[in-house]
Parts: sequence; structure tokens; C-alpha cells
Amino acid sequence: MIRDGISEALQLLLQRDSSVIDAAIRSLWVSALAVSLASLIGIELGLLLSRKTFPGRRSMIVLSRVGMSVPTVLIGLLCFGMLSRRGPFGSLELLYTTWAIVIGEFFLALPIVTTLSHGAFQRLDPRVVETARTLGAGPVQRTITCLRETRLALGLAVLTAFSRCFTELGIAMMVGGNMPGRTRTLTTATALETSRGEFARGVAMSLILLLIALLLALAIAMFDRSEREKSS
Amino acid sequence: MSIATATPADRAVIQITNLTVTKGEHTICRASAVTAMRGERLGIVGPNGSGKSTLLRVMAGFEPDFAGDCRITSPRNETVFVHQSPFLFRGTVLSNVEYGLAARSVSRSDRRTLALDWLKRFGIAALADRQVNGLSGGEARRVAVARACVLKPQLLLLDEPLAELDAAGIDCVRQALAALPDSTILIASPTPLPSGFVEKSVELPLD
Amino acid sequence: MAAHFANVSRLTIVTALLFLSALLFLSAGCGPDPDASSTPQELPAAGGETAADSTSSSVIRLASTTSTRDSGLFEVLLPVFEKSHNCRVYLIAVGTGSALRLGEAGDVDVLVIHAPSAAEAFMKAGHGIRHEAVMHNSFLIVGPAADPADVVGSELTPCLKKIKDQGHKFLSRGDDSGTHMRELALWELAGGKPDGKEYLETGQGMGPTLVMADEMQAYTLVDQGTWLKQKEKLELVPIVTEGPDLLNPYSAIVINPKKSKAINSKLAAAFVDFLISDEAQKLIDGYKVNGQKLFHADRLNAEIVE
Repeated sequence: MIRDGISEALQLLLQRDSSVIDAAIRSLWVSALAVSLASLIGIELGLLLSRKTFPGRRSMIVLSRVGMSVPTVLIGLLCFGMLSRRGPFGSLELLYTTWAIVIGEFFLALPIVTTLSHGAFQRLDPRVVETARTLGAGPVQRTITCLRETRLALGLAVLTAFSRCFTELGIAMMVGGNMPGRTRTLTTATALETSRGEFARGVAMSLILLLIALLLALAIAMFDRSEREKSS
Repeated sequence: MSIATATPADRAVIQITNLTVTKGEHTICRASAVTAMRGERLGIVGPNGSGKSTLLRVMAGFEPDFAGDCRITSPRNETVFVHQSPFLFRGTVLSNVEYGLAARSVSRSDRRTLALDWLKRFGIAALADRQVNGLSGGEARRVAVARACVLKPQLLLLDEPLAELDAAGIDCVRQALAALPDSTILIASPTPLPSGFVEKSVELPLD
Repeated sequence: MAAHFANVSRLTIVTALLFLSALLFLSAGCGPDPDASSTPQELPAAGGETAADSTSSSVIRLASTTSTRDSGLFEVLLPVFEKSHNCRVYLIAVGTGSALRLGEAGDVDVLVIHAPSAAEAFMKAGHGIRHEAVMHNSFLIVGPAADPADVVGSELTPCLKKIKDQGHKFLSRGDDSGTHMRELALWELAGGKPDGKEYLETGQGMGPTLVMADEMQAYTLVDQGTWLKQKEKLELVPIVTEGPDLLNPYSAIVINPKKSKAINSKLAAAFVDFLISDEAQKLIDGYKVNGQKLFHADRLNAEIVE
């Protein structure tokens, strides 16, 4: 079955099967958008949690750590409840659109980015902030400096969140609806092929998913390498 | 327990009386009286663990929890501290020396001119475009001190700036500091400083 | 610089090798092709007996459609059979397509499905050795209470034509399930399925598809069991409930033991015997959800059909 899957995957790629490419592109941009938004907020949140003390900080850290383990199906369910016609945001008519998947995956990515970037900032040498401050850097320049000094760890946090979103099924299925050409992603397509009994095609879809993940990981490795080359 | 701004009349940039810093159960720094006038060079000499670094860190504003009296008249952005083991930001030597100037909104071309000028004074102009990761310990220290000197601060706090420096390096630092006549400069050192660095020294005993 | 570049490509190669070895490991673990394994030695009853004597004598694996599982009927039937035969029945609820593939590969012992044409093809291909009608209920078209197409109570074919012509939203399972196959057949009767943007495939099971139809105010085809189970929570209403083309027959298939020596053909046959026995047929006929009868037994007062 795996062997069939590999040859099927190659065929789908070589023939540029439009439904597969459509789903792959949707998977990519949906997760990329969700993770970008989550990173904008999550990295700031991680910085805040590591630099400032305020009431509720501890519980926020714990919450964000627990948040990393929330099953995607639960996030899907909660989003469904919110976006449903009978839910509080039903009038926005976002359910069964790609935007709904973006929203769900945003909540999937946020705790991951927050927790991992918080960890990165915690591990950051305290001399970084002290040096920036003593040299007269204002809050904005200090933040930029912190981000620059932790960029590899932050890159990893973002990549981790992206892999999670890119490969998740529960949210895309529940609030996306797996409609071909509209909300079908690589993972929901895989689930469908499996339920159809097209196991080889299911494997093929997963392989394409893995291939894209592999390319991304390699791109990050290259980036890491070139960064280090620059600095040695 | 306060950092107060003194009246302009008295020209003391630093006035410290009966200062103690405790971490947990240990007193890590005890200074009964430290005073430094404008333009004065003051050595803080004492063995390892006598609290030299902590004293400088209190003056730099990094240790808010202390007991006693500490008056610093130089404004915050005119007080520059150089760590015992300096941290250089990722990037080039030049970008590090320009860092504080950028924070002060100095124009790009002026930044470059000033930074290169000070790198020259420290004998490391050739390193300007090098990435900081490849620097030796002595080179890194000169970059860090140059990064502070380029700002011509009212108060310059140097924590063991001569460690890892060879004779030529020590000479560069001496001449560079001499070019800052208006700055009050405190230098922490485990051994008495070579001649030409400070006018007088405060001894910190080991508790 | 060159050294660094070498490092990059080494990393690339290592990663690629890991990836490939994982694949090879997986494909090796996949085991021999089911067709290749049906060598003469392992053939008939003898092979089955050996397996039966060893571990799996008291276990059969039943693949059924999710809609049947969701109806809750098996929770009534299986304990009775398990008790009388002192065995365990593992229920694997998957789509019809998946169930057929599992049967074809010999991964299950018995199927209960509702796709008559697919089941016939399956038998013709020699994948099953016995095919018994068990029960039936019906499909129905459901849709939004507002009924924008104005089709409540109409005949099936005109209803579908109207939905198509007026461009109302219609949700299709799109998953090759028994219900999906039937829906496509019904569209054929109505002159072909719509091709516009209002004809949407969900690629999901009946339950989620009903929820989607409810949320999107769309029409859809649903089996009676799932409908009765879920209708309380939905704002959808029945649109077309009667017609010969809406009949939904369920049948059981005993998988050909040649498929795999793990197949417990004896117990599978006993299970099918049980399904068409008076005892089970009465249970089926009497099974109710929310006071509504879900299935009509086909073999009550046993008459052999076919």
C-alpha cells in the first residue's frame, strides 16, 4: 500500500493533479496566514510574559502551556460553536469558509508560538536587555534587539506552529467542511481518500504533505546555516 | 533607598553612603562611602566577590533592590555600563558601535564617521565589517568599550575593562578614555590599575 | 565556505535518508499482498481451521458503514450474538468504499453495507462467498424549513430538477459512500447533477454533512437512521420522504476465506445466520430511536430472498 502510495504520489505530482495542487496551496496559505497572525501576537505575548510581572502572569504561562495540548477537534468544536448560525458570531457567515480554518488554526498556533517564544526569551542572556538599555535604546529598539538575538529560536517556534497547523485535520474538517475547490486541504483530502477506501491515494496525499514539510525544514536549515556562516 | 537627583550646585556625579545589596541571606555588596566628581576617574579595587560589579550595576540602575543612599546626577541615557564580559549584538563590529548612536537618532552618515573614528582610537578599525562571533576576547572587549565611549556619556561605568587586553590594548583604552575629559569614569578592577587610568581608588574589602 | 556548503548537503542527505528509510520500514511492515498470500496450501477450510483453533477463534471483525454504527442498532444486536456464541465482534465503522476495500483485502470477516450495486460487483469479483439481505429503510431529501425551492411534498425527480434549475444549495457527501452513490443515481434520474457553485461536496460522513446542511441552509439526501438520530438538533425538515427510488437496503456479506488465513469464516457465517434469524430480525424490526422505528427487517418469518 505504501509502495502504491509512493508511485501514486509521484504520478499526482508529475501530472500536476489540479485538485491536489489546489488543496496543497490552500493548506499552505491557510496555515501560513494563521501562523503569521498568531506570531504577531504570540511573540509579543511571549516577550511580555518573560519581561514584565503583572497579576495573572503565572496563570497565563500555564494556560498557554496547556493550550499547546488542546486537541484540534476541541478547537474545531469551539470555533464551530462560535461561528455557527446559532452562535454569537454566526452573522459573520464565516463557517465553512477558509477564513474559519484560519481562525481555528490561529488558536491552535497561538499557544505554541507564545510558549516557545516565552521560553526563548527566558533563555535570552540578561545582558542583551541590559546592554541595549544602557546604550540608550528605547522600548522599540530594545524589543527589536531581543527579537534579533532570539531569531533562530523564534524561527523554530514559528515553524513548529506551522507544522502543527499544516498537518492538523480536526479544525479544517469541522469548520472548513472539506468542500472541494473551496475548503479542502491536504489533510481533509487525505481523510476523504481513506474513507473512500482509496488508501494508496490517501498515502500519496500524506506523502505530498510530508514532502512540503521536508522542504520547509530544509529551507530553515539552510537559513540557519547561512546565518551562522555570516557570523563566523 | 533612593536614587535622587542632587542639586546642580554640588558637582558630585555620584554620592553613595552606606550602601548594601543583599541576595537571599548574603550581602553581596557593601560600600560605606563612594563619591565621584564631574570628570573624575575613580578606581573601584577589590578582590573577586567583593561586590565591585554589583556596585557598578547599582549605579547603572540594574539593581533596584539595595539599602542605603545612592545619588546619581547623570541622566539615565548619559550613564553607560560595560559588562565584565561584554555582550556584543549579532551583526558587524561597526553595527555594534553604531547601536547607541542609532538610539540617539544620529544620522546614518554621522553614525558611521563617529563609530569608525572610535574604532580607530581603539586600534580596531580594520575589524569594522567583521561579524562579532569571530572576534577574540580582547577584540570583543575593545569593541564593547568603544561602543560605550562613542556616546561620550557623563558617567561611564567599566567593569574590568582591561581583562584579556595586551599592553597595546591597555594603551589604546588609556588614550581613548583620556579623550573623554568631561566624563566621570569608574573602573572596577581586581588589581590596582596601571598608571594614567584613575586619579584615586576606592578599596572594597571582602566581607 | 565550501566546508559549510558540504555540511548543508550532508544534512540534506541525512534527512532524505531518514525519510526514505522510514518509508521503506513502513512498506516492509505492510506485509505481503493479500492476493499473493492465497497460495493453494493455505486454501480452504483447513487453513481457516488452523487460524480458528489458535487465537482468533472467538473474534470476528465486522466492517460496517458509519451510518449503521451511528444508528445504535449494533449496540443491541452484537451483545446478543456475543453472548450466545461466546465471542467478541469488533465493529469497524468506515465509509462504504473503505468497508469494501477492507473486505477485499481480507482485513475483516464480514460486511454490513447499503450499496446494492457495489455489493453485487463485490460478489461477482469473488471477494465474498455469501450475500444476504438483512433489512431496509429509506432515504429522504431534507432541506431548510423555509424551503426556498418550494419543493416540500413534491415527487423526487421534480424536486431535484427544481433544486438544480433554481440553483439552490445542495450538499453531496462526495465520498463514494452508499448514500453518495445513491444520490448520484437519483441525479441521473433527474437528468444529471448540478454543476454550479451551489452543488457542494462535503467529503464527510452523514452526520457532519447534515450539520453542514443545517448551517448552510442547504438541501441534502440522508438515510433515515441518521436523520432520526439527529433531527432534534437540526432546523432542517423532511422534503421528500417517499418513492421507490429512496429505498435503502442493507445486506451482509461473508468475506471469501481465501483472502487471508486470518479470516474466521465459520463465525462470520454464524453471524450472518444470526442477522437473518427470527431473534435478530425481531430486534431489528423493534428497534426504535426517539420512539421512531429505524429499520424494517427483510427476513422476518424467514423467506429466502434471492
